[in-house]
Amino acid sequence: MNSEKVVFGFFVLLAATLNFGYVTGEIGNPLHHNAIELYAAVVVNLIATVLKLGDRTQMGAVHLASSLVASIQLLIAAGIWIWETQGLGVDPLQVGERAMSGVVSLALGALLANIVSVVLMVIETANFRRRA
Amino acid sequence: MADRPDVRAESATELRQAEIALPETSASTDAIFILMRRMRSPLVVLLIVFAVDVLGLSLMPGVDASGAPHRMTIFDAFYVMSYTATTIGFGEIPYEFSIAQRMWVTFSIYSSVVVWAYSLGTLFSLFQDRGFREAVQLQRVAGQVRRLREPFLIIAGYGQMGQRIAETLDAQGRRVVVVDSDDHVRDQLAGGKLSIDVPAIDGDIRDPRTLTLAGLGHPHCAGVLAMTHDDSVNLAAVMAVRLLRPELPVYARANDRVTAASMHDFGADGVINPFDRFGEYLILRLQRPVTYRLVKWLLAAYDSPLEECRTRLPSGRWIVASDDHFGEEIASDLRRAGVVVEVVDAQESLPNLRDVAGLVAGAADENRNLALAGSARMSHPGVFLAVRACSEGLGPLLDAFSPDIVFIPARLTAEEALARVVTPDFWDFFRFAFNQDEEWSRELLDRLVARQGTGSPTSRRIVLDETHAPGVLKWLTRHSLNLGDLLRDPDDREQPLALVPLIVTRECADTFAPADDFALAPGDELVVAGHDAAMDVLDRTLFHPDAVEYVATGNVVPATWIFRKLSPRVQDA
Repeated sequence: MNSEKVVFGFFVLLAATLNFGYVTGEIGNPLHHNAIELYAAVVVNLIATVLKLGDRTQMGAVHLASSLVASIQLLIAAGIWIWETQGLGVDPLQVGERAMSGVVSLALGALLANIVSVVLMVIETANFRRRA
Repeated sequence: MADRPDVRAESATELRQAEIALPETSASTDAIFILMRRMRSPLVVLLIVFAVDVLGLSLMPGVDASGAPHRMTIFDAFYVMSYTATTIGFGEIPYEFSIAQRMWVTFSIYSSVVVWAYSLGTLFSLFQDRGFREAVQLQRVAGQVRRLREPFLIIAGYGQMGQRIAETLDAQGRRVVVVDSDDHVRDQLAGGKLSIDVPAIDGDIRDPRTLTLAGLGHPHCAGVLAMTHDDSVNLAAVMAVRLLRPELPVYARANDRVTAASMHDFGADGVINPFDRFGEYLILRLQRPVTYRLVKWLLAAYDSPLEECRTRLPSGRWIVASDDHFGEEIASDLRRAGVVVEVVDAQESLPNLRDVAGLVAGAADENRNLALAGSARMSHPGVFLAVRACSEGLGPLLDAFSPDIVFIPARLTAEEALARVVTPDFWDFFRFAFNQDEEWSRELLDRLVARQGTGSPTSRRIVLDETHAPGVLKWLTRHSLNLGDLLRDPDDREQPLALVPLIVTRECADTFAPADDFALAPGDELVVAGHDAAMDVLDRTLFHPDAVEYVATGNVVPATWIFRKLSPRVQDA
């Protein structure tokens, strides 16, 4: 067992699961989306991105690209959330449907990129088994 | 010259059975990958600690200005942590902190400052790292080579020879790329006298990737000079060029006949075996001293003084004192020329020199050679002395001692390589001159000295075509032009320019040292030797029809359109 692979797999999966957890629920309803979970998703996605730095393979390049997409989308989602709740001073539980669905749809896009990451990881693992 | 391209093409097709892409070097991405790999763990630790600190701070209970319970949002906490961790410190915002928040911030300061220091430390130590710096350097040089937009030569080996060649080419405004396995090359280049920034690569020349990095695959690469002291390295360079870029000329130094033969097999355009070449020069000096004087002068660096005339021809027995294969090489060359030679050990004292005509002091140690020559001169002042030296270091002593002929392998190799590289046509002339008799050489030498003085000439190739000589071409459509007239001063045609024609090539047929009444035709290729400044003046004649008319006929023609229209004579023409 390779500890590096464990850490890598852990963060890639966690990024996807946190992201999934955040977007689950009615898209425009602020009660269904936890800001702390968004925060966790951002942090874990950033860590996953850093872990993918410096891999020279083709697979590594696509991994890095998908992680970058997810991180950027989540960061923009977080930015809108901060603007809405603090910049405009709206109470977090009273955020309008339009703004809320904007935040969540960005996070949904990030989820797609995270799913690609997980699929890539599964493919990589499957190939590794075949070669071994 | 005429048959060389065919021979080269033939050997290339035989040697090279498959056309392959040049080996790639990964240097372009090395540095950034090293950086990313090494920064992975510091960045991950930084992210985790930061995330925990931010989350913790946002969970700590606090109060707002009116005393109501208030918690920081994630964004507030991130903002506070950002300026705290980077030690900027704006104070407690948005409201004064509660005790719980202060406790957490205290913990955060220590944890985050430590990981910041760890990350930055790793980054800085990476910049100091030798491997990383080499990767960055290599990447920079590779970029420099890639961006070259004019013809350049690759010099493999930056020793005495490479240095000399690079300096001469640089003085002529040619671009070079230097490769050497010694990593002090860059320092030497930085402290050198070169006027243009020369890309220098330290790497193993035997590895084709190093040559690729130096621009072997570059469309502007004009040739390779393998000038290291190591024969096997030079041979490797020759083979790499002939197999990977067969159309490029490659010139190499070889110290022994076996390597030289292998290089010839691989179709090297020029193989310079200094011992062998010195043998030929020595025999030339003995048999045709004027021709020797001419060719040495033509070969010397630009504006070197002409050696004084020494026509003494020694006859009799020769002694060669040596302690390596140089002695045997020279002895066999001399024997072939019909000289009786005795080879002695240079480490022992000289035998009796009573009936000896000449001495070759050819030990590997230059000081020993000077000592041998000195004792020979003391005991028998009339003996012809040939001294072998290894470097220019002994130069002043040798100048003072002034033996009849000095052999410095590095200098000879550099001079011969340059003569081949600078203008390939000049080399043809040189080979022709080498075989001429005394009368011919004396005539040419007198002509050169009368025209352009005793400083050794530079040479230039001129093509009479639309691009390089439109003025002459226009004139030749209706009139005729003599070579002698072309080389007149366009300011005062009574004065010849300080130039002497060496070759005129017309339809692959060479005329060496053509006379002044040689009639030029469009498409002719000339090689002229002479003064540097005169070459620039000649450009005026080549480009401006009015200058051509003046040098050809003596008529002063108005150069501008309006005066030409007003001049009745030209209107008639």
